Amino acid sequence: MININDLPGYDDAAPLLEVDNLCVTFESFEGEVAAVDGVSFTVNPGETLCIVGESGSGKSASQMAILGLLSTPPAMISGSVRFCGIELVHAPQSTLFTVRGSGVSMIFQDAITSLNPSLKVGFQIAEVFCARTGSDRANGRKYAIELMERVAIPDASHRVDDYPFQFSGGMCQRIMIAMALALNPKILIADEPTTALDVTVQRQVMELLKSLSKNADLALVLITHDLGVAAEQADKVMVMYAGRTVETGLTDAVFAKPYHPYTQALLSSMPDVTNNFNRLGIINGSPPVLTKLPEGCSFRPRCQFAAPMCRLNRPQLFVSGPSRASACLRVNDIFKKKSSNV
Amino acid sequence: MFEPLLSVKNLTKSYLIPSRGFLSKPLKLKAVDGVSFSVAAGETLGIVGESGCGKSTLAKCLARLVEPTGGQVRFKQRDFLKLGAEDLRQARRDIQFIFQDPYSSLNPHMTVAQIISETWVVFPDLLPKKAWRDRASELVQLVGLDASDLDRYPHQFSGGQRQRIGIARALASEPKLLICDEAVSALDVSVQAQVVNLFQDIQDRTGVALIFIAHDLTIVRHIANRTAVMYLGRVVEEGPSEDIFSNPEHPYSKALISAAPILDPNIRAAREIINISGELPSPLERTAGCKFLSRCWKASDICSSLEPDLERFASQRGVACHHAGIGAYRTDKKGK
Amino acid sequence: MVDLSKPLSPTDVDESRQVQLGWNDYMRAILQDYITFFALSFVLLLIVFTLGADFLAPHEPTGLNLRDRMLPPGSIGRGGDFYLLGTDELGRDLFTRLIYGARVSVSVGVLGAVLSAIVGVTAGLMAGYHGGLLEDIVMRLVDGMLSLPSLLVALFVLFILGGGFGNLVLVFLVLHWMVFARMARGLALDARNSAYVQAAVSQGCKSGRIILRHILPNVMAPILVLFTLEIAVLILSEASLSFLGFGVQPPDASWGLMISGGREHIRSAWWLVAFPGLAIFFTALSLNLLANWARAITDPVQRWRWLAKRTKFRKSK
Repeated sequence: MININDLPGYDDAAPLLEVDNLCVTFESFEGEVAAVDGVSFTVNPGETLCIVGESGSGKSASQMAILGLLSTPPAMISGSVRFCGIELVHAPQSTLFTVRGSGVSMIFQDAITSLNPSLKVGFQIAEVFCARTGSDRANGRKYAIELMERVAIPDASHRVDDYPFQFSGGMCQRIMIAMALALNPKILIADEPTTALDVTVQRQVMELLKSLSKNADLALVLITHDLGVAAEQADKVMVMYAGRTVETGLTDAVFAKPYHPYTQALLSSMPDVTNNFNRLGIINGSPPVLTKLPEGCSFRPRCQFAAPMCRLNRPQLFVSGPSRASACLRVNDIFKKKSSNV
Repeated sequence: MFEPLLSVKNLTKSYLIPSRGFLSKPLKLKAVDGVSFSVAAGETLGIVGESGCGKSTLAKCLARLVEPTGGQVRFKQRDFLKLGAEDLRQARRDIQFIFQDPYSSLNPHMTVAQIISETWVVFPDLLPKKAWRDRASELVQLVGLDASDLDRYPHQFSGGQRQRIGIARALASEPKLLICDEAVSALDVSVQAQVVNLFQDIQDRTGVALIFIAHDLTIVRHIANRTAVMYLGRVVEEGPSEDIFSNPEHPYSKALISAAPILDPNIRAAREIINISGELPSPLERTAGCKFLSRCWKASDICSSLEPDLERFASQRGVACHHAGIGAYRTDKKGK
Repeated sequence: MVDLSKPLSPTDVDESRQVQLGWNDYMRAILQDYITFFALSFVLLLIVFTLGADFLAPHEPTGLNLRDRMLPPGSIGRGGDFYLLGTDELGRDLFTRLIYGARVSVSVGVLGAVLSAIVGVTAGLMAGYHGGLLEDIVMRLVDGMLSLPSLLVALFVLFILGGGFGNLVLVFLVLHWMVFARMARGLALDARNSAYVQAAVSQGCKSGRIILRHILPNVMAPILVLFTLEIAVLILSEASLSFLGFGVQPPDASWGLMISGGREHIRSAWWLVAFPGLAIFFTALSLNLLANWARAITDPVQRWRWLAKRTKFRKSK
């Protein structure tokens, strides 16, 4: 059993997760599709980062690439992902096996379908733990009960022998979280953890994640399309569109005053307490087709501020404020004008 | 006497579930347990609730896609549930349904034109055949698509566009009532906004009444004049949307509304989150008294013995709780 | 009437996202898929022979020619005739009889399958869609008839009615509609709950129209696969029945009959049994392979995978 500390490149002083220019491309009939096109971000211990985007923005693909969950023949990954200094892109399987679970863990959207319906829940929770540490079944079962209590599943000592179909959606999501925490990872990546859940259950799961994050100094990367969840849970937010990052920054700052037309349009399209019965702000046009991205800025065809320069240059993410970055070439014109009435 | 467009009284839908044991009686699952409300012409009624509250079943019962087991529905001054097969078929012109999943609600083997014209094939007296193409063209443009889309197949469209095609199809017979069952839940945020706007525009233009069923509270608040909150098959609170969302009376409504995530940090700070413990009880359990008892923090003796009815107050507000009384608007009543 | 002169929502039109694949792509893919190519070619060959037997056969299928009897394949007869696959015990050209036998087998198989499919699918769809008493009656009938030992029943019925083409098809219809009915009923049950069928109900469609216009086109794919397999099954059944003397009667040609006739000469004239046997084998094999391919091609995901492996990518500009 290799320890993470023994992996080549491990560096205590390095940031917990550092992603640098990650690109994921797929081959298709119409040519290469860049599902993720140069994404960079950093995660520090105890922090919660929310990656926000709609379908096709590349948010899920980027996280699956981090853990090496995409099969590399159809997908081509380039760039760098470093967990505590250990390079994960194109790393050997042994490195990935060691990092998964004990370094970086992931939970997926629809918990009920992510669980094996014919295995007891306790077995599934303790499975990786037993495999990695060589514990026997009895110890594993005890540990599973501990974990279930940690995620606030009532009557854990009896429910450890139940099957997934005997649990509700919210409970299954907690079981997934318990599984993900079994090896005490430092980062938990959650791919749309609450989308399939009811509002009250969503609240419970989010509170649970928040408390786990605080107690165990666990860093959270939340992928969601729900801006409300992002606003409530995340310290930092990263907005993605058509495989690229369009804006990053501290959550409250970004949502109060967005520095990218897409973020602004997204915010205005959400119903607001003050906006009843008027029309919601809409984003003209339709979601991007990744095989036919426009030249220059990919949001340009739908942007109400588009100018000729937006066609010529593909915007990079650049610093536009304290702890903020935006990929809009016209940030200063549009968002920072003193007398802006946009 | 003025009668609303749709008037529902005590609607129930029960399913018989075979129980364990060879000869034991089957259990009754009350998916919809005595729901009453009314919808006026041109009005939008929002129905919110979580999974298992019966809102989808209610929607299907209203359109008689599923036959209710009890209660009364009056639509356009006629007893809707008692209509025979042919009369029901004719009446379907005026109640149309928008489905949740845009990917399975359109027949993959029919073109958009055929999908929309289906209504006119079924009711030839609505529109003469030579006018079909033009009217279909008008309808697709009404919903924001192009006339050239008429000859395309559903798989050539995105989710939001398919949902629009579904709306165009529903409008073909010029219905008086549209039942939207989670019509925007499967769409992206920006596309949701487009479709919600579309519903509002259509309502402005055609005066159609909407029953909008959703689990997204913010959208229902935005689009609905009145809202009903459902829990385990019953309506627990009902009233003008703005009232319900700013001053919920029923404990479940309070918890539900407080659980919704809020964008604005100032508003968020002022809100009190109410966490209700436990889980949704099984709808098979036949407990006397209020169904919300197991999770309610206000529960008292009367709650376990008597199930509260939906009592109506002033300004068309209704609450089904023993603890919401005449002082429904008392200002000293706090959230907990 | 509402004023619809102006569109309501100012959204742009989305371009068709579907990649339009033309015939060329499919042809190229088939050429690269050797197995399917073989199966398709063989079946096409059979169809050609079935239709053009009179023109393509070198000799007469019936009629005695005792001078040239029992000649091995590739021999030249007394009169200078070339016998590609040899002759049988009555001097008839084996190749010719194979071609005419193909006509019989394919016709019986296809006709039997078509009739069974029509009856079975109709019964199954109606049973599945309407449910209730109709479904119970039809399904119990299906269960009951499936429990009958089909070969014995066929023999019994043919014994009474006599053999021959028409009776064979009738027997096949009666004994094979159940498979289609069972499949169609299951498919109708699924389709009944799908949103587009419910949408059709809410638009006021009558059940007949729903079954014909909405359900049937969407369940054709698995039925087509079953249909192809059933043709193979029926061809084999016909061969067996003719072998036993209850199917096609002499002097007509049928593969099963030819095997039966050549049985006693198997040591001296192996070709009398081998070639009809191979014909049956390759026919059944091709149809099974074709059914496999049909299954893949009708499922959008598998079709994509099949095409992707065999066509080159086109780079976009």
